Parts: sequence; structure tokens; C-alpha cells
Amino acid sequence: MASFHSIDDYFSNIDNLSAQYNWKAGEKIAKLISLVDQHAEAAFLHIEAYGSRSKRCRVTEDEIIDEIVCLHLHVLYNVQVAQDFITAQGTQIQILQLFNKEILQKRRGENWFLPIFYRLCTDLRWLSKEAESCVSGDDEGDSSPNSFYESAAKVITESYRTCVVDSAADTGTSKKVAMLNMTNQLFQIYFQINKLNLLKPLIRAIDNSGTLYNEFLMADKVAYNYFLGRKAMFDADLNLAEKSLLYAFRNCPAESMSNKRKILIYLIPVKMFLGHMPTFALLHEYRLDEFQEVVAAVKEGNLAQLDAALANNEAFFIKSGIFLMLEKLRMITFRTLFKKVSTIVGTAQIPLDAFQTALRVVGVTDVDTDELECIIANLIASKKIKGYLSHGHGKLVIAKTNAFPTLSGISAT
Amino acid sequence: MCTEKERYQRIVQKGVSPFECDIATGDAAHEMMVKQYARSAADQERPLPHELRSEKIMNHAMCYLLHNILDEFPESADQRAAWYNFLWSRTRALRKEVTQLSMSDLLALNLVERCTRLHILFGYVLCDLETEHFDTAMNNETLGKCLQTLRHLYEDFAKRGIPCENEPEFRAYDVMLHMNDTNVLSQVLSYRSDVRQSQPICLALKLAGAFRDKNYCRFFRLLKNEATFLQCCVSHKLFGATRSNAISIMVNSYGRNAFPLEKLRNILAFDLIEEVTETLNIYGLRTESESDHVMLTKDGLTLNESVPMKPYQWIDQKKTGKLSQVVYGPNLFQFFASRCDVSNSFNHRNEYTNDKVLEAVLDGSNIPVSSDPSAFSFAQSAGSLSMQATMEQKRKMEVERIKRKLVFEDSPTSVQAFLLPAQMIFQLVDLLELEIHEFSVLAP
Repeated sequence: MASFHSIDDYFSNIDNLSAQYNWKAGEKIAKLISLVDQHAEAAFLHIEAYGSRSKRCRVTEDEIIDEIVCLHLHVLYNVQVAQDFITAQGTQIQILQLFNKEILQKRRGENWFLPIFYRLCTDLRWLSKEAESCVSGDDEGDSSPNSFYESAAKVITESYRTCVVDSAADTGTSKKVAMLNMTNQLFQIYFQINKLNLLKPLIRAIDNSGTLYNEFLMADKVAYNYFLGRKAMFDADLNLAEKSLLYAFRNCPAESMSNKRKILIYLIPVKMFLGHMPTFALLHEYRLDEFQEVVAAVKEGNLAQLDAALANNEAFFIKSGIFLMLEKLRMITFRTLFKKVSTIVGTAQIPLDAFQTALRVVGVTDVDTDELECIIANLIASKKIKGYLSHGHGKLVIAKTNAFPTLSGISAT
Repeated sequence: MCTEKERYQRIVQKGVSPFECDIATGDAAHEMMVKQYARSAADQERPLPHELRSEKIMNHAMCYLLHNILDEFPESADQRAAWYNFLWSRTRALRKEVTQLSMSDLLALNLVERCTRLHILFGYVLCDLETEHFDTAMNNETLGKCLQTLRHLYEDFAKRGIPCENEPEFRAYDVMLHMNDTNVLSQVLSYRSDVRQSQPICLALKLAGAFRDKNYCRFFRLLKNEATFLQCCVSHKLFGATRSNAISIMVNSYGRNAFPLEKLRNILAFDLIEEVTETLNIYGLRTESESDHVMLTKDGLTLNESVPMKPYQWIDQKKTGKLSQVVYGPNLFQFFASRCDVSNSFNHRNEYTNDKVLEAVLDGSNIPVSSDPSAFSFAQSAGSLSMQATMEQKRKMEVERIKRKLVFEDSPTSVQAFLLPAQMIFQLVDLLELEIHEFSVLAP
């Protein structure tokens, strides 16, 4: 985007774009009211309450866009000059409410302005994050934690409702196409505040969208499946997680290495839970070598190695949000180890001492008999082992066939 | 430990707690009164000077509360509820003052740390009370707020390069309260390395790992062998969930076999076998009175039933001393119950005599200061009866005059309260719902 020399320049540019009424123009205007575009640095655009000035530039083509631009300058002022993110976030909420009321609800048969709206939502999320970190802990404080995220979610949900009931028959101009992008925006907020259950109706709506699904942008579809897959991981629905994350990975263009990598970070643990280990080549190609040691340990059934691998790459795994998931690989690793033991012992009744010995071999010395029973009990209860424990005889009795079913066959983790 | 105005106000409004009354007479005892928590008025941004206490007094108040109130753990549920409410309100007032004064010194840290330990303790020792007596959720919320304040304080101290020796202890509580929370886990990464590798944090992480792995064996073993009393108090909240998970897992993995109760008692950290059988029965597992085993069967399993919480001896035995010592912290708690001088502007004849500001002013000037306090007191000493009657009349007139003045002039007015003894001034304030902004003394 070319940089502007003056505020007149800026306004007249938007003015011209507002007259075009097409999606491309919408995308360009979106950049001009975003917080991350080059224009956001220009000091002459950091103005408080520009709209109330008697002598000022205007977007004559479109009164509402004019109002939005003025509010945007107010946000820029608060972010860049006053460093008041709380006011900035509040103002951004106002912009969205205005957009919803005057544009989404009133302008029939048009949707070229949706890119602007998407940008406003994304910036709102960023502002909410900044506002949250400003609030200090105080006994008398009115703001409960996450109230900024909540207010952001509220205004986006209201706009979502407006779009969803759009009766335009032509999908080219229907506002319903915004459903997916807004669902993604809400996904991100709900991940942050841990309210994923609120997404259920939105997910159902997308599932039921029928032919509309084809109108959605691929970028939005990839993002949606990425989020859906991550949510499925939380819900322990491995099959849905695998399906969604695979779709996202395959349809993410090869040039977006970092996005593909992000998807893989979640896809790899899911696949490992289903018993499929990633190859060395894949991990190396996407610079995910942190997983190498983990994969090796799980394949071998080596607990100590797994714990060391998790500890060594702790920072990376925690930052990516998968540390807790990877911890659950311990159970998978135990299963692999115990399967080897049962193969060696050969009989259906295996003394617990055998497992104890195996643990010592792989360097685990702090698990006593009680804890060993506890671990095996967990494996049986989660259907990774078919059999039962006899506490009295100190033995594990396994089923004659398929005592260690393949991981992909088991539905529950 | 309580500001003068509040003391008079509460006495008149009968808002004095039984904990603040003399045991023998039942009268309010000024030296036992501790500042109460009260919400600020909506437009009141800053506290007024006379509403605040000195740091020395705040510290004294906390120690007094620990020594004189906390250690006297009452018997009945009603008494315990009152005891909790008193301590909560008085410590809440302390925390509020810390915020109001923007205190960020070691004393502030100590105060908030002790409040945090207090609420952890409450959650455990009052766990068997009904909600009407003790609201666990409210207590947890308060605990959360204390921890949040502590997080800010630790950040602040770190920026100034001042080490906080108890930081590992409280960061560990944070982890233990949020075992399933990735956000807290990622915060652990941002701790300084000496905190990150400290014993409390390592234990907290191991405990959280065991909990998430559903390794009930390790969970309780770590608590029994390595955890402190307060760490057990924090984790105590998870006992119910851990045990019901354990039963669920065992019932699905041991086949229809008998399992020894003693082993179950040990693994699931009960004190007595009776407690095990009680819990198992609630979950739908039948136990025979003669047998020392339980049949682990899925039939009739009712894991959704809640088991009442109770304290355990094995946890109680971990205390480092009295409750006051536990809350005070690692350093030895010594409190000398000295009678703290209670500030009093009035002498024993209810005459307004003790005004430090006026004295300082008069000291600096050459107005002769009479040694007889009644010479410039505003209440005339009781003379003849007729004098008293006149006094009474004059007082009544004064009251009427003030009332009228306020009715007609709705603005803040300086009211000259002549001839009125202390108690009356405050009764007047109450009656007319006045706000005293400035208590200045006029020379006769």
C-alpha cells in the first residue's frame, strides 16, 4: 500500500474506493482501516475524536464508512499515543456495532464490504488481548477476567446472527458467506477463554450449510478445519481431529510453510495417538526436529527417554500448546513396552514382576507394585489392553487374542 | 487497629463483632477492634487520611488476628462461620488498604502472602461445613484474587531486582490450583530459573502430571511423602475427583474380584477403614461387615454421587505448629500481646482534647497553653445543675440550628459544633447522614 502524505490523501483514497462497490475495493479499504497497515504509523492519522471536528476531511461517498474511518483514527490515537488499550478496544467494539447496525442490517443484496468487517474483527481480537493484559488484579475491580474477550465475542456473535438470516438468493452477494470467517474469529476467542462448548451451534450451522460451503474461501476452510481439529483433540475425538487436520494440511498451499507447520504440530500427536509415527524426513522438512526424540521413545516403549525428550523440548511444546497432549503419550509408551513383555513371556498370565523388570531396564526406578497396577489398570480401562488384573496373584491376565489392539481401532484415548 | 471514626461509628450503629468485645463485660473494647472491610462509595476514588492505618499498625493487626483469633478455632459450625467471616472481613480490609496506598514494599508482600495462606487454610479446615456457614466457591474466588495480586507483586519486585524468598511457595500453589490449564503451564516457563527449579514447583509439576495421567497412586503418594501441609490443603479439593476416577478405573480393570480394603485405604489416602467403606457405599459398592475386602463390580455403580469432604489426620500431622505459625510462614511467629495504643481524641470526660495538629500549631506560637485541659475544651465541665440544664438547652438549639442550616444550604458546609461532646457529634453525623470531610478545631 502506498504511504500517504496527508490526511486529505488518506480520505480521498478511501472515498474513491467506496464508490467502486466491489470485493477488491472492499479488500483495499480493509487494509486502510487495519491496525497493522503502513498507514497506522503515520502520526497525522493519530487523531482523537476526529469525527466531531467541524472542519475536516470526509468520505463523501459513504456516510457510514466516514464514521468508521473517524473512529478508526480514534483507535489509532489510543493505541499509538495514549497507549490506552482499554479505550481503544471499546472504540473498536463501537465500530463493529455501527457496522452491524448500519451496514450489515440495512444494505440488502450487497456483500462487497465483508473484507472490511473481517479485518475489524481480527483487530478487535488483538485489542482485546492487549486490554486484558492492562487490567491489574484488585479486589474491588469490576472487570472479571476475560471480560474484554467476552465483549468482543458478543459483538461478533450479534453480527453473525445478522449475516446468517440474510435472505439474498444469489450466493455471490449473500452475507451468509461471512459465516465461516466469523466462526473462525469466534473459534480463536473461545480457545483463548476456554469456552469451546459455545461453538457447537456454529459448527452445526457450517455442517448444515449445504451448497453454500462451496462459496467459502479456501483460506477460511483451511483455518476452520485447523480449529475444528484442535477442538476435537480437546474433546478426545481423535477421528474427527485426524480428518480435519489432514484436510487443513493438504489444502494449505505449499508456500505457506509456517501455516503447514502449525497444522502439523497438532496433526503429529494425533497420528501418534492412533499408532502412526511420522517419518524422520517429514519432521526434518518442516523443521519439527523437536519431535524426533519423542517419536523414538514412543516407538521403543522407553519411558525414561520419553520423559527426557519432553523435558528437553519443554519450552517449544508448551508454547505450541501441545505439552499436555504429549504427556498422554506416556500411556502409549507403557502400552508398547508391556506389549513387548507379553510377547516375551508368551503366556496369557503374566506376573507383574515381569513388567517391573522391563521398567527397570528402560530406566524407570520409582514405580512400585501399587503404582504399576495403577498404570496397567489405566491401560485396561482405556481399552488399550484386553484383560484383567489379579491383585491377589500379582498377575495380569490377558485375552487370548488381540490383547493389545491397534491404537487406531480404539475410539477412546 | 481500627480508625477512630470507624470505632465510634460502629459502636453507635451496633456493628461491633463479638470478637471485638471484652469477654467479661461484653462491651466493645476499642483496643480489640480491627478495621472492617467496607466497599468504597461509588465516587470515592481516594481514601481520606483518617481512614487509613500506619504500616506498623497493619502489621500489628495481622499478627493480632493470627495470634488472638485464628488460633482460637471454635467448635460449633455457627461459631466457625462467625470466625471465618470475621477473619475474612478484617484481612480483606488489610488487602484493600495495600491497594489503596499502592503499597509495594516487603510488608505489603508479607500481608498478601499471609492472606493467601489463610484462604488456603480455610478451604481445608472448614471443608465439612454447609454452604450457609462456609461458601467454598467464594473462598476460592478470594484465593484467586490474592494469588493474582501476588503475581503482580512478584513481577514488580523482579523488575526492581528484589528477591522474594517465598515466591516458589506461591507459584507452586498457582500450578496446583490449575492442573489442567495450559496457560498456567506456559507461565511456569516464564519464571526465573531459581524459581522454576525449586522444590515446590517441581513437586507441583509432578503432582499435576500424576493427576492428568490419572495416576491416583502417584498422586497420593507424592502428597503423603513430599507435600507440605498447605500444599495438601490446596490439593485436598481434588481428592473427590481423584478417588472417584480411581474407583472407576479399578472397577473396569480388576475383573469381578475382591480387593483388600486396607490396600485401598492406603492407596487412596484415607485415615480409617470406616472412611473407605463409607465412600465405597456412596459409590454403590457393597461391603460386608465381616469382610476386609470389597467386590469390585460395576453393578449398581453410582459414581456421580458426591462424597462429603473432610479433613484428614495424615494431613493435619504435617502442620509446622499452630495455625498462626502455618499462616505466618517459614519464619518463627512471635507475637507479644502488647496493648497497642489506641488513638483517642477525647479524654475520659469525653472532652475533645487530643488534637496533635492543634498542639503542633500552638507549640509553635506564643499563645499560652494552660495546663488545665478544661480551659480550652469545647465541652464545659459539668457545673451546677442549672448550668447543665442551660447546657442541654444550648445543645438542643445548636442541633436545631445545624439541621436548619443543612436543609437550606445544600452545599458542603462547615458546621461548627460547639458545646457538643464527642458521642453527640457522631450521633448527629449519623442522624443527618453527614460526611465529615474535615475535622478542624477552632480556637476559643
